[in-house]
Amino acid sequence: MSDSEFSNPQNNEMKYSPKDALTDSLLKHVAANRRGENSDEFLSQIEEAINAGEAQTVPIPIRKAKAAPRSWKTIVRATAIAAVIALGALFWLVSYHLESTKPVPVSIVASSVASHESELQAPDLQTMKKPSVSPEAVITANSFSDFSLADSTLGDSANPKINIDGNTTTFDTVIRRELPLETGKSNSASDSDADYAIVGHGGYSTKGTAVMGAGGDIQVDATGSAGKITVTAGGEVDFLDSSLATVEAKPVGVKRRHLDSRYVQVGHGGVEASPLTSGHRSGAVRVDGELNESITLSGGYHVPAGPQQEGESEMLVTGLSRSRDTFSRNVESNSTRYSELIDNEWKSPRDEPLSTFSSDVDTASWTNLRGMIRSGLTIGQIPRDAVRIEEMINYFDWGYSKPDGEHPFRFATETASCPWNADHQLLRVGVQGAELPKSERPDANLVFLLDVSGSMNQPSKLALVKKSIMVLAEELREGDCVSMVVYAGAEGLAMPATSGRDTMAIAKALSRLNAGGSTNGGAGIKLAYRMAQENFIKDGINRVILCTDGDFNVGITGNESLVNLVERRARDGVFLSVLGYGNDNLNDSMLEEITNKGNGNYFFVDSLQEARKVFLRDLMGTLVAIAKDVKIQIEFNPAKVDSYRLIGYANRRLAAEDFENDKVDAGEVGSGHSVTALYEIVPAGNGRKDGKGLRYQKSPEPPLELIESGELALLKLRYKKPDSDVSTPMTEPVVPVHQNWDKASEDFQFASAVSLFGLILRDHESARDASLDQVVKLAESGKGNDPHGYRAEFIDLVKVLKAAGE
Amino acid sequence: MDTSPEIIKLQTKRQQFSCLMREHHRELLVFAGAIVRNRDAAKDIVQEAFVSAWRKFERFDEERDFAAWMRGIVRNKCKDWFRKMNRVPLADTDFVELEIDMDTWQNGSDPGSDLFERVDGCLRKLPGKFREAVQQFYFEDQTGDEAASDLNISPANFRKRLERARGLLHDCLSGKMESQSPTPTVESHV
Repeated sequence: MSDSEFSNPQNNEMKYSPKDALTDSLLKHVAANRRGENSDEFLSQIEEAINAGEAQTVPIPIRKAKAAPRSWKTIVRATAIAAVIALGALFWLVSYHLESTKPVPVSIVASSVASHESELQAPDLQTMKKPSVSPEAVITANSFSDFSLADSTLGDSANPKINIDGNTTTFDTVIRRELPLETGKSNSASDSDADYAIVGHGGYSTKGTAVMGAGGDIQVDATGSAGKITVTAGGEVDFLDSSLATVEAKPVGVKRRHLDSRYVQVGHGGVEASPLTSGHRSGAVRVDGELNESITLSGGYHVPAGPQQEGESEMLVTGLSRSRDTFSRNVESNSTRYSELIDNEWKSPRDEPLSTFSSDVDTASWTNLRGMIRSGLTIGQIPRDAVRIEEMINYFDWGYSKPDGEHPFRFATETASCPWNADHQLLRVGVQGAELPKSERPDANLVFLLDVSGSMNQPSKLALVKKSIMVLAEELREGDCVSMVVYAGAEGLAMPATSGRDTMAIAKALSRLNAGGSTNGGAGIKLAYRMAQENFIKDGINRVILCTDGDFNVGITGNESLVNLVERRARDGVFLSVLGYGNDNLNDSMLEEITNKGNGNYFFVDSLQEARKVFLRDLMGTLVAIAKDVKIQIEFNPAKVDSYRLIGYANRRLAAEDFENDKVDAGEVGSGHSVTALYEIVPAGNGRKDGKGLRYQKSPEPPLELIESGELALLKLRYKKPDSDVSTPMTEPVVPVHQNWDKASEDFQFASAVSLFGLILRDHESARDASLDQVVKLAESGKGNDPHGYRAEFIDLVKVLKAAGE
Repeated sequence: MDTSPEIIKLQTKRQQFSCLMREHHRELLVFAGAIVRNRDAAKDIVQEAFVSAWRKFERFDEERDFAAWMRGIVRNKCKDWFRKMNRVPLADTDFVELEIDMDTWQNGSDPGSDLFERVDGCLRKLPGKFREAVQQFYFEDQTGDEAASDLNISPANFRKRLERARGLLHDCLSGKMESQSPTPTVESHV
């Protein structure tokens, strides 16, 4: 049959009468059905399109709660699939143990990798698209054979019976199923939607059952020789997320065990993956060189710290999803990436009188460091580039006076001797932003962009995200508008625009969230920006808040275009905040870059306490940007300053000429925020630090004509009002006070303690002779009344780090 | 599991919609196929139509004829499709005729019966050579030319025969066949 009889693509005139065309179409349909074209397939495509459309194109009622219909099955499915993988893993383990030809009875009860809170609560990932190829996890072992994918067409009966090779398997609910393993027989078990299935062909002498029950517990009870089990999902969830991948370790002379990669905790030593080409699902991992920390794997396999002996810790990774990228995510368990930071150097005011930097109110670095210290890392193990001193300093509250003049900023400067070098001085430059009373806060249009990929499935991640959002939700008002977009395998709308007052709707939407799938941040961010645009509040706060644990460059090709997108949207008035959860997988440099470009900010959230701080203090403060493109420039007086060095701000330096260039972006400052920078200064007449005490050059170089002034420096600040493109300048001279650091304010002392700590962590030459004891001493002296206990915590952590090194 | 009444209501609504989809998708495919003359395009259109319909489903009055409602949506999607493909759409009168025909098939002679179950019966009622033509062209995947040469008739003659077969089938499905002479006379040996 060909269409040519009736249709002529060049000419759409109806050659035949409507009734002829209708009958033709009918016959073609009947013919297609006879050829086996499946209505079910077509219908399920439509169902998916509806579900996806539900998420993406449903007209959004602005600021009105609307619950979207959802299928809760998907979640159950995702959960069950995860559990199925675990079953596969266990089964493999069993089979491995049973590798020898003589049957050994084994009984294992284990808790599924998928057990997590609210797992059966529901629905949300229904917008995930069906993968073009059914995802499958193949668990292989030496001598199991013959496992194949199930033909998952079991219909939708509530109590499906499967008959394969004469064996009938019945299982009663979606969650609970039983897989008999029998010699020479192939059995499969599937959920009632046939969205996933486990298939087992019995090994040569395998006998037993594998049961997966509610709650994800798996019990495998089997005897027999080794083999292979296949898990397949015909449904919508790409369950082969890295966090569910399985890792086998095969130490020489030790039995091979089956392990879950999520339990692989590798230190900062080298963990190397052998080449793994795209599309492969397994590969070898070699632990090379020296491990700073021991690796503990759930199967009890332990790689001790220290130098690795060849072959001792070869690992095989199976069940991975597609790419090498995922693989490295998987294996380098501490794969957080940091951009290299290059510290500011000593500068002479004669050569470079101007020091320019962008305001920076992020605090992510300290939170991240805090986590590292708590986890027991020693100084040498903390990556230098994870230490951003300005972020450490800006984590803390400083008691600067609030601005009262025409500008929304007020300078707070202080000078004293440098605690770690008595010949030097320390200049603290504080800039305090005005605080808008809460009631004056404009309405907020917040779009939460939530990473629900499988790796978020940890108490410190998605669960904490939910709690954090609830903390914020309680602060929202009638006029505020909140939406949620999730992304994993695909993006979807988890909650359409909802009034900030509707805390219940928010809580409900949150309870439906569950982690599963791989990360596709790019598509999600587009949807999030669209939501933000659709609900745009003029003169309000319009912000996308991304909560993620990491990798964010899938979907939009490369960092570049994602950064462009964020930058473009910021110009339209929608800003981005990034909240980093967990610290095992963060693409730190990427997140930092996109928030810098998006006039945004970036925080780490590692505890509910931190969530409270970030969401209520920082975020709600940040939400109201009192100014944007805030640039700070300091002109040093060569008569007073021989050389200076800006501590921190390593990647926030601006060229001096950018200060007055309104086209150059800089950071934004939120209501009540302050920005603090410290300069280490070599006073004039104290010997040059910039290496210019040269033999062949006349010293001093051509004498400068200086204006008589007792001032140390001139502070200059430029800011733009949030809705303006023109910047306003303000200046203030710094008159030095010569005092010893222990006479300086507590704030000053504490800030210098934080700086010194940062310098030590960065192994900075300035701090070569300094010790952690000195940090503690300084900090204790500057602790002040510390209402939130942040400073006490700092002191504790410095002590912890000190103890770790001993 | 979320068991709030509104969720349950939505889930019920969704299930109801799925049932309606299952019930009506074939007729709509046929309908769209008759308009755009391309089965794949028809599938896309029907899919889009259902997606749109679901969004409006809340407002759909259950007393109304779902099939007729859907045909209206499909019609509009078809018009979009013509526009997108940069092709001249059908005349409005053709649309109307198609809709009436489709409605007659579904509700005319034997309301509530399955159109597709009636097709076989009607095909059996076709005179032999028409049935054969339908068989060859539609079900055995022969081209018009192949079938014509098999039958030792001209392609034009074969096309005519097919057209006549379709006309008879159309009438039968509309409940009119019995009253007509099943004997065709048009094509003999052109």
